[in-house]
Amino acid sequence: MNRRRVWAVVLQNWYVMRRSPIRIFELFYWPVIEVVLWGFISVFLVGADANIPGGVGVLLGAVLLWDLMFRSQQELTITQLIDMWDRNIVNLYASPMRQSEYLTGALVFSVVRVMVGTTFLVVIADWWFGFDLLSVGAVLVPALVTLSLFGWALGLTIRAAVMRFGTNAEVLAWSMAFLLQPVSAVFYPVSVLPEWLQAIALALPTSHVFEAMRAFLASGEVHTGGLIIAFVGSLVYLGLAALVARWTYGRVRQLGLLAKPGY
Amino acid sequence: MVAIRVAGLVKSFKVKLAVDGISFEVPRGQVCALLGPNGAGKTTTIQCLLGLTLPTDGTIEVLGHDVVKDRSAAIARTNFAASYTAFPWRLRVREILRVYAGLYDVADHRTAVARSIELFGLEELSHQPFQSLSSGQQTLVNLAKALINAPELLILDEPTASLDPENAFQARTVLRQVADETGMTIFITSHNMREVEKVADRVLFLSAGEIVADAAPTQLREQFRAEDLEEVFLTVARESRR
Repeated sequence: MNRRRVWAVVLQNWYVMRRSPIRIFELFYWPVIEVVLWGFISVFLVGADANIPGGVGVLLGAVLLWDLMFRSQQELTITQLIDMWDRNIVNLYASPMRQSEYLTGALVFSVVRVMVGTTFLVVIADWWFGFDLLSVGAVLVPALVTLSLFGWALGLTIRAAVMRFGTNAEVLAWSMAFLLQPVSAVFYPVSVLPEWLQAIALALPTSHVFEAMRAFLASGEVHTGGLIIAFVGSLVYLGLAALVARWTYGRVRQLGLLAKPGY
Repeated sequence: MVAIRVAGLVKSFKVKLAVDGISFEVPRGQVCALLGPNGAGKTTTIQCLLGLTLPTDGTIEVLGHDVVKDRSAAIARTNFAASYTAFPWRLRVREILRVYAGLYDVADHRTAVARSIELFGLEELSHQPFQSLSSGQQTLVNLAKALINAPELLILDEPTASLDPENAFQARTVLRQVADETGMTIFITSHNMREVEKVADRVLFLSAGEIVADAAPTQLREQFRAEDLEEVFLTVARESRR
């Protein structure tokens, strides 16, 4: 892997963001809306003496962690979509840049953006609603790592779909995570789902992470088993996504689609 | 020394045969034009040379490297410009060139960017966003990018299609000058026959995916008893339709 090429991808994304107010705006706008919305719902539930295991901080913790997963996926996808919208993709792929370098550059830039956005949200949640993400305790680091890995797995898969089907597939960048949200046990336990949906939920690393977070906030107990399943599951999904991306790259070169920007 | 070696190149897309077993070599330092009517297989050939499209059959070597097996090494000392490509719209010209200097692994990016800007007289545009440029100016930026790594092989797909005669003249002059000074090989497709006559040492005529003529422009005129390349082009195009 050539570091200069990876840095060039990072630099391009930085320039695009610096010149695009909407890219800076979106870094804060929707996540802040989410935190404020769920923050007030939490305040309301506290006032109504609602009996929520783990307390109302569960909701804000869930919003912050879900946002991290969603952003990890979305950032990875949007960097590629911008290149397609701008018709830059042919010039990029005609350069000696390898697919792995393109991806690594996008990943580095995405991680920085996710860190900035998440830090901002953590500060807002603490300042406005008194929720400290560190209260998630020992679950925090495994949750952050696992959700990032799973977000990248989704991002890679969507990038492959966009590469194969062009901008027709761009809707996945915004919708895929929301398709998984109801079965990810973000705001409620897996047990409230019908049995057939529970099977799907348990196959997703996200549900194990959110169950572990709730358990810790409720009892201080660390669900090590669930966290290990989630971590290993995320690695497996990431590996599968990498295989799909690699296969798709070969396929679009066979079909001659790389040279047809937007398809 | 050979810059491009193509042997038995076949490319088919489902039911369409775009390139039908062509073979040719381009020696280093030569300016070689690939001509042919629309749909003849020119762009597909160029995409295969760049490794953007995988051949159905045959082999392609660029600067001694197999494009299919070792694309990154083959393309490292190559560059490309086409009329149908663009750059991130909000980026300044200088930023675009800086990014591409990195992508082409240029160590001294400052010198390379300054040189490319100077070659195409882009000094006044260098701080303007790409989206604010006219299509002709955007084409010049594309060409400036194409020289950012001082390539040994330059592949151009209708590079001057949107340039006015003055800018096209400037672009041709710069490319020919760089080729003469550095020994850079140029492989170019164009529908501008006058341009081809001025810059090309050799012309490959492609028709229905096959090479139907391969000679210097002057030889082609004699071979087809034509006054100029345009007449040659028309003859070949009409024959291919029969």
